[in-house]
Amino acid sequence: MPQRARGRRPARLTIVLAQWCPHCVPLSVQNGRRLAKTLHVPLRLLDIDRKREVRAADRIVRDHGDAAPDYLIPQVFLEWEDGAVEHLLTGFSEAVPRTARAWRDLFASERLRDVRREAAA
Amino acid sequence: MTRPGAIPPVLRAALDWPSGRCYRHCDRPVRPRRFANALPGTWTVRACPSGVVSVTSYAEWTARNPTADVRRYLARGTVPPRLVRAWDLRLATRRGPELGRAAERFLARARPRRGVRVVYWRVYPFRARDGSERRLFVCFRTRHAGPVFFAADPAKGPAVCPRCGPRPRPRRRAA
Repeated sequence: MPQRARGRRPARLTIVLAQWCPHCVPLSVQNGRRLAKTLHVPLRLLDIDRKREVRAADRIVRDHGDAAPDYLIPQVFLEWEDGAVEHLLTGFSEAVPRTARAWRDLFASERLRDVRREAAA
Repeated sequence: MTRPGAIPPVLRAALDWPSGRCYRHCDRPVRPRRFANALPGTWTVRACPSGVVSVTSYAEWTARNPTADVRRYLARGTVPPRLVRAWDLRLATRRGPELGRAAERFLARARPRRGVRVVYWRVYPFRARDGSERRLFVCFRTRHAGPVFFAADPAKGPAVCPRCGPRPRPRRRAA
């Protein structure tokens, strides 16, 4: 995970998802809202089944995430003010509770603690 | 000395997920089973007691995308090989923060920096030409070098492995 210089701030949290995916709704939407609130950034939800959103979803996954012909969802990205994009999480195909645990681990991670510090600086 | 790309124990522990149920088939617990082949990473097949596969995964500690290798190796053990489609192979990168504190620290210290790349192979149930349902099964019998994947109709009783045939019936003892 890249370490960033002081003074740079996160700008937006983006989640690529689908409404029918149990790893996404409600699990990742709820956790995404909580994370965005923690970081004081807006949350953007990109639904792969919506024509207006799928292009942006495909682009961020292709450029910064885990791309595949039929890629995994959810994928969570933290966008920074300087334009950098950090891939935070991809859903776990094993089971929905495994993705829930990944969210818990992300909230407790040292990386998120560092991001919070940078956001507060 | 471990092979480059092999998953160290601390990462393996973070990736392990023993629970889960067979979705839309029997709802019995799925059992993760590992197997090895020439690739350096860790293979795991999650299947129910009847052999219906929920998902197969391959995890490698690497910066490269192992999807092409995964597809090639899966095709060798799949009857027919065309069951392994690019569409059904999905990549996930585990960078550390989502794997728990121990794995996060381990990956943060490691040089060169790289995450764990996991390729999942999930074949959703499909219909054969005659309209019957097909699901992906796996056979772990030791007659073949590795697991054999094949599609079969779950409604027709125990699935028969195309490489090793039906299971032998238990011998009856004389009274």
